[in-house]
Amino acid sequence: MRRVLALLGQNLALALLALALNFLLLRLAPASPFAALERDDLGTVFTAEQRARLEAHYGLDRPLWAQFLAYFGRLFQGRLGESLYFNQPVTQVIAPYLANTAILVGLGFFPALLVGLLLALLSVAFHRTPLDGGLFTTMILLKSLPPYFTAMALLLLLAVLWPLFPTTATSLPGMGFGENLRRLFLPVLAYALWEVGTIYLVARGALFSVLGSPFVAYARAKGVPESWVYLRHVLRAALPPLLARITLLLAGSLGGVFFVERVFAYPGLSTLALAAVGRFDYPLLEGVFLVSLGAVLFLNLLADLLLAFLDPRTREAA
Amino acid sequence: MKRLFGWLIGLLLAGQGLAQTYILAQMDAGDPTPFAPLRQAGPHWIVTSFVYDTLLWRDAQKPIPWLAESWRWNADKTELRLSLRKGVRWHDGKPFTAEDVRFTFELLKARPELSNQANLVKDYVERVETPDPYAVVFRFRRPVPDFLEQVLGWEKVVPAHIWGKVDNPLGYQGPDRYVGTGPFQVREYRRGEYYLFEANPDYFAGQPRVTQLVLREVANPVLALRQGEVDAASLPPRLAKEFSGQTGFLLTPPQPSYAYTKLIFNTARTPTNRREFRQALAYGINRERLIQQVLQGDGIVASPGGLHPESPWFVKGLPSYAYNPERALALLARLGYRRQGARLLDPQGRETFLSLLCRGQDNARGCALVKEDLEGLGLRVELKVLETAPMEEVLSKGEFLLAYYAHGGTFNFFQNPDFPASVYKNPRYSELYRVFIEAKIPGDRLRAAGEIQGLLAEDLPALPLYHSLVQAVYRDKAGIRLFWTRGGLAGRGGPPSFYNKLAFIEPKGEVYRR
Repeated sequence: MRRVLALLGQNLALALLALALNFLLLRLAPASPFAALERDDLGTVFTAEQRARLEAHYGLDRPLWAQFLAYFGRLFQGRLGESLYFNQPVTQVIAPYLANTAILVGLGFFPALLVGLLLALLSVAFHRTPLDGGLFTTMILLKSLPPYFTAMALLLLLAVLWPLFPTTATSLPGMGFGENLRRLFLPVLAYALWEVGTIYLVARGALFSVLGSPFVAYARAKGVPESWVYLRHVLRAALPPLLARITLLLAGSLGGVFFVERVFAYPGLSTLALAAVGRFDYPLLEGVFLVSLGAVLFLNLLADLLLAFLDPRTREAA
Repeated sequence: MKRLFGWLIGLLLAGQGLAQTYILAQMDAGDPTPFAPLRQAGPHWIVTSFVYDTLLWRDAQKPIPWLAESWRWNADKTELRLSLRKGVRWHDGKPFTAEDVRFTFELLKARPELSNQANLVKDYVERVETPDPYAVVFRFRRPVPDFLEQVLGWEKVVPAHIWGKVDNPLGYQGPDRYVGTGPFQVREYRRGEYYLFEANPDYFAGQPRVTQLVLREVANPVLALRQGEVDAASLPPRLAKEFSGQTGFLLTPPQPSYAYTKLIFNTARTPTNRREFRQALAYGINRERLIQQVLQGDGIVASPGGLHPESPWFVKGLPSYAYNPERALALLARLGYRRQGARLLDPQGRETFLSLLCRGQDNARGCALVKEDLEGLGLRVELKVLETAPMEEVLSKGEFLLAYYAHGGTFNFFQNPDFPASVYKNPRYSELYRVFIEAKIPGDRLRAAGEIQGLLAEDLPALPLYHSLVQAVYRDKAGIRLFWTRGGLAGRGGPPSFYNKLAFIEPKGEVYRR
């Protein structure tokens, strides 16, 4: 329990520091969210008065320290402010994009985890055979291909040359379950293919390291059937650190989602973040950053906890 | 048998009339509420134009009466009387009256931050009167020539019975915020994905041609059109070509877009402070090649006078600065520059370094070509790429020498012709610009516009490079015929688009004729 509290405390401190930095960096950048007002198509730009009134409306006319305090004050009440560009509460703007990214990652990650682990087991079991060699090469290739390349290749193959799936991943009114699955298929597959390589490689390494352990030799010596050795002894010992490691990798792999979303115009967090960056929409950018930071810290924490609970050795060490 | 046949035909017809959906490729523009100061200029204006109406609208060529049926100015242009169309209803069934117009413009006057044209309402309008439910009188503090098109053609009229109860129109999230008088009502908005609009069968100007209109965000409009994921999109001609002559597809003629790509000179720094130097660079840049290589030929060379060729004030016969490196070098030689091998030495005998700012990766190709051309003259060019927001900051502070920049256009001139920088100072330009803005007689205005273009083409605070070409590709359904609205949907280069709502309704003769 003390370990959990300490972990939570660490993460919270880290989060606050990151949020403060994020707040300051954005506002110190040489750009303004209101520059867009001078890019108006009619050639009549916002007057200084109009601009000042908007700044006052969003509280941007106050000194930086006052804005800083107000930001954290709001944050502790669970409010993220109002998007300057969308003039709606940031939470309301972010929610659907976050949900979409969660769907993409959820649908892609778990199959990738399952397939990656299975293939890794196969590789280990058939070590030094063409099967292992083939798998290893394919997975290295999948992992080293940039995710946008995989995404575009899939798009070209399965949506253009052989049009089985739509080229656009946005939904349409009245889409049924099947149609929704179809539109999600390519982005999910592109993401999963990228993820499966990582999972396979990590798992293969972990399994090999366990395979050399004395207890595996002992189990074999005892005459335990080979398949049972793998499932009962090797996988069980390798899984806790492996899951923890993969959870950490998941946090890092969110970057891959970014590219996949771009290729399919998938309305996820990266699409929103990109739009918010171009517009210097401070509250929205802060919100997107908060959500991504939250996800990464949550996954870190989860990895620590997983390790602590699944592996008695680390519990004792703490 | 005959009955069965009749029944079948009836079913077919009913099926056709029912649930006709038309899907337009359109970038997401956020919540379709009428007040959105930071995003109203482009896509948002187009999206909301299906839901709300303005007092004036535009057909392919010119402004036409819309919510206002007719208008009359007094002699000194300080009073404008509008008579409103009768029998128009809001989407919630309440009648549209003069009170709604008065309310809308009083609101803009009190809160000019709500819209980018509201400063004109605040500065010029003294008060708005409603002598009867279908008459509105605008009284002005001083004459304002462009009020009709620039303000009444732009500002969407909102219902007083809804917005009158709202304290904070910018943040209002009530479910009735989408109530307009337009041909379509907002049925659903999925952020980042689509707008679903439903036909307003009581629309005053005519029945919508489809029961549902969907505006959808797509990754690749060409593929989406091919695959039937959208019914209409605008494309550069090289991509539109494949649909030409294909059954079921129609194309509009290609049109130069209202986007301006230009090279801005810092007129306060050496060496670009010399007019001859700027002219030399203009001769040294091969704009035809830019169009070939950046747009694969889908563009036209922009006028050095700064106006779009569709502008009513556009003049021909300005110096064209056609690519001519010999002439460029001759001009530079006159300033004391001389070639030494591949290098150009300035009058002091030093190499000439120029820094070229480039807006975003999107313009990287064009920037690199300009750099190549200038290096061909013997100049040393250093390229720097900045994203839009920081670049605008740098430009507005005047901390640049050359800047490659693209922006949305206008049929007017900018207050600073080196927009978005404001380094260029020329009292003659400021004077002509004032005449142009305030002229009461069209002839005065035309003369001022002609002189401004001559001056800009000679003085070159910026060298306009090109306008890209666009055309609409769309499916032949429900009698929809897309067309280009000259001057943009709101006039004067305002949101340029092929999605004019007139194309989506069956016109009633008494309102307008096609």
